[in-house]
Amino acid sequence: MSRIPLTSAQVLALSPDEASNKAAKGLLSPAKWPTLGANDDAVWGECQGSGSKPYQTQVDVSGGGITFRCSCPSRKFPCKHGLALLLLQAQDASRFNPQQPPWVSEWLASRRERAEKKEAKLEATQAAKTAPVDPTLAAKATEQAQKREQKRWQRMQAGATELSLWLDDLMRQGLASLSVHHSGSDTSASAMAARMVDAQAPGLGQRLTQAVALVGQGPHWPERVLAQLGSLQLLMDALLRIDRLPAPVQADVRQATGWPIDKDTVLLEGAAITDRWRVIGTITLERDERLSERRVWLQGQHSHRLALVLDFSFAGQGFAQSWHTDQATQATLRFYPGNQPLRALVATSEPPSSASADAWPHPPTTDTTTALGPTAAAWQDLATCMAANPWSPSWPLLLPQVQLHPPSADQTAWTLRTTDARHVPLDVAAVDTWPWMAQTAAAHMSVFGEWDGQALHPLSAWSAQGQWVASAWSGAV
Amino acid sequence: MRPLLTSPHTSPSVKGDAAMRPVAAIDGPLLLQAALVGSNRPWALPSDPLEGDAVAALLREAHPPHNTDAPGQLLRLAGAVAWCRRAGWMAPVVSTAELPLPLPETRAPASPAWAALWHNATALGLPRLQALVLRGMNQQQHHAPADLLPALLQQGRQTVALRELIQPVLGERGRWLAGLNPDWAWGHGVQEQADTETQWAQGSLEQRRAVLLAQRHSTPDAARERLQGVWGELPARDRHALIGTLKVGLSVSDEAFLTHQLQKDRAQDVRCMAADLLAALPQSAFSQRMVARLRPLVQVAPAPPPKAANSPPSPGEWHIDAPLEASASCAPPPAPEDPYKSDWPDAQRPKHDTLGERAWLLYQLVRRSPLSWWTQHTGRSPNELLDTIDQNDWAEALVRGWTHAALTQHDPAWCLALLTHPRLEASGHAMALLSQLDAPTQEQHLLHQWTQWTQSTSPKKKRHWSAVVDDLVRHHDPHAVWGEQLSTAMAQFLDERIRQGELLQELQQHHTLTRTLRELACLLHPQALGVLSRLPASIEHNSSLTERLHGLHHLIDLRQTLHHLCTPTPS
Repeated sequence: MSRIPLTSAQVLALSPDEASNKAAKGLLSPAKWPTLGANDDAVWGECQGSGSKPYQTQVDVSGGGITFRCSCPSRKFPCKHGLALLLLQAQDASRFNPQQPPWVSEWLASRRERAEKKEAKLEATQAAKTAPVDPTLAAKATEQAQKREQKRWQRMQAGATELSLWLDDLMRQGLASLSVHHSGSDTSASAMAARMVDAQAPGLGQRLTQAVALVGQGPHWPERVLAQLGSLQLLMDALLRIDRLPAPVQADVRQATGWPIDKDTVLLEGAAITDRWRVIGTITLERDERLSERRVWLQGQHSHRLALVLDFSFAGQGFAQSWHTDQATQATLRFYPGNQPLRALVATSEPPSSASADAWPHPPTTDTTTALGPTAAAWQDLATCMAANPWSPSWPLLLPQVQLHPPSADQTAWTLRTTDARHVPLDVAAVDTWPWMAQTAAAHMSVFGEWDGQALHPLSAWSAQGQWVASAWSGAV
Repeated sequence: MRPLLTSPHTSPSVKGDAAMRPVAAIDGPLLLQAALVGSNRPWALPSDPLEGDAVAALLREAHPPHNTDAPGQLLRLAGAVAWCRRAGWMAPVVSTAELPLPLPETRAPASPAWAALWHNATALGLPRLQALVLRGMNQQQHHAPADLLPALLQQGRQTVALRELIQPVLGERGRWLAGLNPDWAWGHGVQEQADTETQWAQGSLEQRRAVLLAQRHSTPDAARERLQGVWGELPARDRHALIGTLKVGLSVSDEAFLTHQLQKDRAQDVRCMAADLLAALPQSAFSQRMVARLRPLVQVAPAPPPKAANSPPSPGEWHIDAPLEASASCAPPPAPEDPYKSDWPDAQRPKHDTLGERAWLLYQLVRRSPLSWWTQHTGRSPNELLDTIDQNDWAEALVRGWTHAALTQHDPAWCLALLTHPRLEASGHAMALLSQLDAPTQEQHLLHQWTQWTQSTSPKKKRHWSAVVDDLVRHHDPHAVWGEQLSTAMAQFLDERIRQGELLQELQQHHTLTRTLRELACLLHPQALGVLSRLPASIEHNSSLTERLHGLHHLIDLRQTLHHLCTPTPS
């Protein structure tokens, strides 16, 4: 078989939620699978469930992504059977029979047919779009859209003014009053946050809620609350003078205040970069019971550009596209506008392949790299990134030549030791720590992760010992 | 891209610690203080900040100091300071040295299949299977794959019994890893050695016991002296637990210490333990005294002349009487100042014991006399002695005494004889006696028991087979599989029950039978394992049974994988 099966970690990264992972692991006994098969196009199996007839589970691996189908009634996508099937293949591919049964062939044929139809339809729509439009009508539509936008900015600015007054009032009384009156069930702040939703600037409300939630948390809370509120004040300042800001900063402010930029606009107008993009880290966060957020970090092989592809999955429906660390795809990404664009959408892509074993990821080689050395340059890049968009919740950081250290007697955090004996605190899941240590055995490595201003959340690492990938799932946030 | 802020060290000429310029060193705390008490009170940024504080200069440029009363001004300045601090943050320098690298491995790495096996065994919650996997990995001279090491070290922390099996497969990397985590110190061989003194001085009772046991194996006298050194400070519970370690490497040089404790210790169970240990030394004065008390009670008639010229001589009749009183000699009653009264640490009969007063004394005497004396004095083997006691009035006292002595004196011949003795069945010592035997003898004994049961039991009563198997399972070494003979006998029996459909029926009725079968699937020799695969994989309309059958097949599958991994492939 020429296709290399996914590893267990890669399969688990496809799961819609943590519960599905657990359920899938419970189905790994081959005794439960009377039929198991795989070839270059698909992986399939029959799983004995509680009914008399086994469930027919099949996974299409032929195209650009991975598509699941199962005859079980689960609403999760992919369901536990699909995940278990791929996990079994990761454990022992020799159990899988390449002879494709009719029920698999039928499904694959119907998928191909549907894909062809869809393509034809897309071509038709694009043809319709490119058709000449009456210029006066178009101008009118643009004018109306601008008017609508103008109106929304005004509404948001009115909200910001209101919040400014409220904050000013708070500051006149002092943060100490917040600790007495506002901790716990904070009615006044949450009412204010709700007002911001009304003013169509939910981002302002979220920031306020987050800041107030820090009250009384830990010994340095006043400092952290002040920093958060200060950042909020600067965001409102920016919002109130939005017209005078450069367009990229306008876009950042717009995102930060909770006015997302339409995907179609990005796909149409965003800056396009075509490259061979390699996944250098993924993380899925369970935002609440029904919503999962997946963050996929990509780096271009030639451009060395970093990109963040953000996806959401509602009610365990799964993500449209599957990504796993080290997968590489020739693709065109369209970047969201911004002062230093990171977030992007995949416009077009070819089927993924496993990355070649070259020394990815690349630290961006700039003048500073040569002047400061790789470690200092990494921090310099981070500072530049933060300066470009200070409202971002986290920033990418690629630290070269670091060694993992377990917590010492006088501290609780795991750290990365740089070559100049500095210790960078890590925010790493407990289940990941010792396996990471065991796997890398004190080797020097490059670590990629997200920096939140206080600690690095590591996503992947590369060393002479091989590659390490963090658990794809992070607990509820 | 145009930065919104100027980072405090965007200049490429700034290097290393020179970059650690103060970031609003005065302004930060000042703003925080003003924010805490409220901006209603007058506040202002000092007009001359520290020299070289780029952020401070920036703040003054953007917000003139006199303008502090403007709405939002305090937050605006605080926000800018926070951003600059965040962007200019540098990781602290810590004096910790670089970690040393692990030594190169001397064994070959185990394939990922081994890791999958271990995870499956752990998921099934079967310590017996875990032990088999570890044993197999060790036999193949493998070290565990890196991603398995944390799980193994953690398992060893929780299950002490598995440690000796985990230790050899940890490899250099595993030992190195164990050295980094205090919880895993047990796996870090060198550290454990070096740490003996700390463990002895500060360790738990279990750890101190382990220190003594280890030392008794190499230098028994030094271990005893170590114990003697702290003896006076120990509470009774610890004294009892620690004096028991002297059973390893017991010799005449321990006699003085034990005799002293027998006569002087305040706790009765310590005195009893000392007496048991002295009894295991036939040359000790204590043993000699016990024999001297026993000798007058046991009469052996001279051997009768052989009936035929070539028949072996039969040993003479023997008879035993119980002592009248606990004393130095049996004849005269003990004087109150009897110097050897301490020889009877539990002369007091428990109120509801089945033995009478005299039988109790006999039991005490027998349990603390050297077993070798019996065979020498009567000229009979343990089996012969046991066979002839049924007519004896003191049979129960004798069997109890001998059982106790066989266990404390570690005498395999007596253990085996007692195991086969019908009186022992109810006494609950079978497992302890069995553990004193070597593996082949144990197995022979179990096979004998099983064959006897299958031959003597009516087909109807055979449905109670699982209780008998549970008994066999319980009595077997938790870390090893059965040999071929016992496995074949068991497989034949199971095969018959599967063929007649009885096993499936029993499985439907008794959930506990699944546990027995799971144990069997771990214990049966690989050659005999096939019989269990003949059970169906699923039963329609019975999801609970189907689930259990799946589990069983999964387990058999794992055993077979393990067998393949352990069998060298012909190349």
